[in-house]
Amino acid sequence: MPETFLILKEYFGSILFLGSYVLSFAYLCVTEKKKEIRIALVYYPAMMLVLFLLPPVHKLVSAVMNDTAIYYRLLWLLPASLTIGYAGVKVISELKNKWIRIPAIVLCLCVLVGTGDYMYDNPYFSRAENRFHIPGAVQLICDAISIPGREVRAAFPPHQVMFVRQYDPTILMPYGRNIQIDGWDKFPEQYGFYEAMSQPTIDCKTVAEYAVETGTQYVIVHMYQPLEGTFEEFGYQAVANVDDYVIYCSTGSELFSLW
Amino acid sequence: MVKLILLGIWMVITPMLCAYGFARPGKRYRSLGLLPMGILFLWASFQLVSVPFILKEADYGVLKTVTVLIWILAALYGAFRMVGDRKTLKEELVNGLQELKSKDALFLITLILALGAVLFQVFMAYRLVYADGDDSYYVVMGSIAESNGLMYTVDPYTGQGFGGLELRHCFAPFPIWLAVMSSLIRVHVGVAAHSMLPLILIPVTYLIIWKIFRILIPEKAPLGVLFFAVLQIFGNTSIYRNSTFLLTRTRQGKEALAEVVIPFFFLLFLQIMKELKEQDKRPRFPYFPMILTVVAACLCSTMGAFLVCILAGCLGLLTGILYKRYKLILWTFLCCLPAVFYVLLYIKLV
Repeated sequence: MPETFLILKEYFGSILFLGSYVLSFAYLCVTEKKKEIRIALVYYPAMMLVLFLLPPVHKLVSAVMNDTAIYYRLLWLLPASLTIGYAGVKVISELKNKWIRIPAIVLCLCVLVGTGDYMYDNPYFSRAENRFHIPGAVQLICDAISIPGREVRAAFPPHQVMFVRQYDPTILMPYGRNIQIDGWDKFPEQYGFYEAMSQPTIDCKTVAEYAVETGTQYVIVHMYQPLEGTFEEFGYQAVANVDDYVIYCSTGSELFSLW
Repeated sequence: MVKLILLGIWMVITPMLCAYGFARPGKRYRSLGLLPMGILFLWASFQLVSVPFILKEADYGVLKTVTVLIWILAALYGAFRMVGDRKTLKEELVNGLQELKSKDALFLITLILALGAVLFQVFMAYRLVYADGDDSYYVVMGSIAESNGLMYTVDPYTGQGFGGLELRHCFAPFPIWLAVMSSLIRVHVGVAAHSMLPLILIPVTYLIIWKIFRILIPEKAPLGVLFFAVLQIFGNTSIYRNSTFLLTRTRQGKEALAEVVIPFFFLLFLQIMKELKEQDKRPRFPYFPMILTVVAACLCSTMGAFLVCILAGCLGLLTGILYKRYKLILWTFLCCLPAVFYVLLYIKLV
C-alpha cells in the first residue's frame, strides 16, 4: 500500500469514523443540489484527497518542509467534521414529520458517539494541579532551587524534563526533551547524562561525574529511587526534600552556601 | 478575576474593536464575525512586524511596544466608528433578539445544547492537563522572550544558546505572540498558554463553525454546530486529527492553524460563493480578510504558509472555473503572495 494511504488511514484512526465520512460524502455527492455546497464539501475534498494521495506531492511537501512526519497536516484541509455534521443535518431536515426529527437527532448523536472515541478518556489527560498545567512537584522543586536574577543548572528525572522550563526558563538543563525525541545520535553530548539518570538504579558516581562535567549545580531524584553508592561521596549533598523528591546540591558550588 | 478581565480586554474587546473598523454594520465583511476577524488581525499584524524583528535579532521589548501600539490604534479607530454607529448597533441588537424570539423550539433547544457542548470543552480545557511534549518548545520559547528578551536564539529545551537564529521555527513566531499576550494579561506565559488561551480560542473556532453552518443551512445552524461539537468531543480516534489538536493542544500555533485559520478560510470561500449566487449583487473579492488569513496562517506554523496556498489554490480554482469568474483565480493567487514570500524565504534560509 502506498505510504500516503497509510498516512490517511492513521489520520482517521478508526474505520468507523472514516466510514461515516465516506458515507456522508457519498450522500452529499448524490443528493446535494446547491452548487456552493457541492464545491465546498464534494469537489474540493475530492480534489484535496487526490492531491494528498499522489506520491510526488508527498515528496515535494516533505522536501520543502524538510520533514516527512508532518505530511498528515495536509488532511487538516479536509472538512471531515463539517461534512459529517452537514450531512446529518440534511438527513434530519428532509424528514417531513416534525415529531420524527427529535428521535432522529438523538439517533444521529448516538451514531456520532458510537463511531467516535471520547477525547477525555485519553490517558495523557490528567487533572490540573495548578494553572501552569504542570505537575505540582515540579513547581515546588523549581521554586526551591531558583534564584531571582540568575540562572541555575539542574538535572531532573526524565519524566519531569518537559515541564521544568515551561515553569521557569531560568533553570537550565544538561539534557532536555529533545533527547527524548531525537535520541543520542543528534545530541550525543547530552545522551550520556540522560541515560545515567534514566537507569532503574542510578549510579551516583556516573551521574555526579556528568553533573560536574556539565556544570550542573543540582541533581533531583525521587526519594525511593534505588541508588548505587551515595551522592555525598561524589560531592553532592542532599539539601532539601520536596514532595517525594530529594534535591542534591554540588558542595563545590557557591549555591551550596545558600542552603 | 482581574486577569480574566484583562483577558477579556486584550483577547475579546481589543480584537473586536480592531475588526470593527473594517466590518461595520452594513459593510460586506460584517457577516464574517468580529471576534474571529479581530483575532486574525492581531495575528497577521504581529506576523508582519515580528519576523523582521526576529531576523534582525532585535529586542523583544521594542517589538512588544510596536505591536501593542498598532493594536491600540486599530482598536481606537474601531471604537471611534462604533460610537458613531451606536444607533445602528442598537437596532441590530434588537433585530437579532427579535429574530431569536421568532425561532421554533427545536432551534432554541439545539442552540442551548450546542452552547453547552462548547462550554463543556472550554471547562475541560481549563480543568484538565494534556501532557504534550511540544509545549516544552513552544511555551518555553515564549517564556524566554518574556524573561530574557531573546527570540529564537536560545534552545528552549536546555537553555543553551543556539549560536545564532533558529531558522526552522522563527518564521512562525506564534509563541512570541503568546508571550506578548501573557504580558498584557499579566500572567506567566505558561498560565496564558495552558489556562487562558483555550478560553478564547475554543469559542472562536465555534464562532467560525457557526458562521459556516449559517451559510450551509441557516435554519438548522445550531444543530450543525451541535453535531460538529460532538464530533470533536468524540474525536479521539487518532492523535493527528484537527479535533485532537483543538482539545489537547489549544495553546499551540498548529491548533490555531487547524481550527481557526483553515476554517475561516473555508468560511471566506463559502461567503464568496454565496455572494456569487446572489446574481443581483455584484460581488467584490474579500481582499482584506483573505490577506489577513493568509498572513495569520504564516504566524501559526511554518507549514501554515504552505497549507493555506494549497487550500486557496484548490478552492480558488474550483470557484473560479465553476462560476466562470476567472479573475477570482488571479485575485486568490495575489492574496497568497505573502505566504509564497514566507515559503521562499524559508526555503532560502533554512
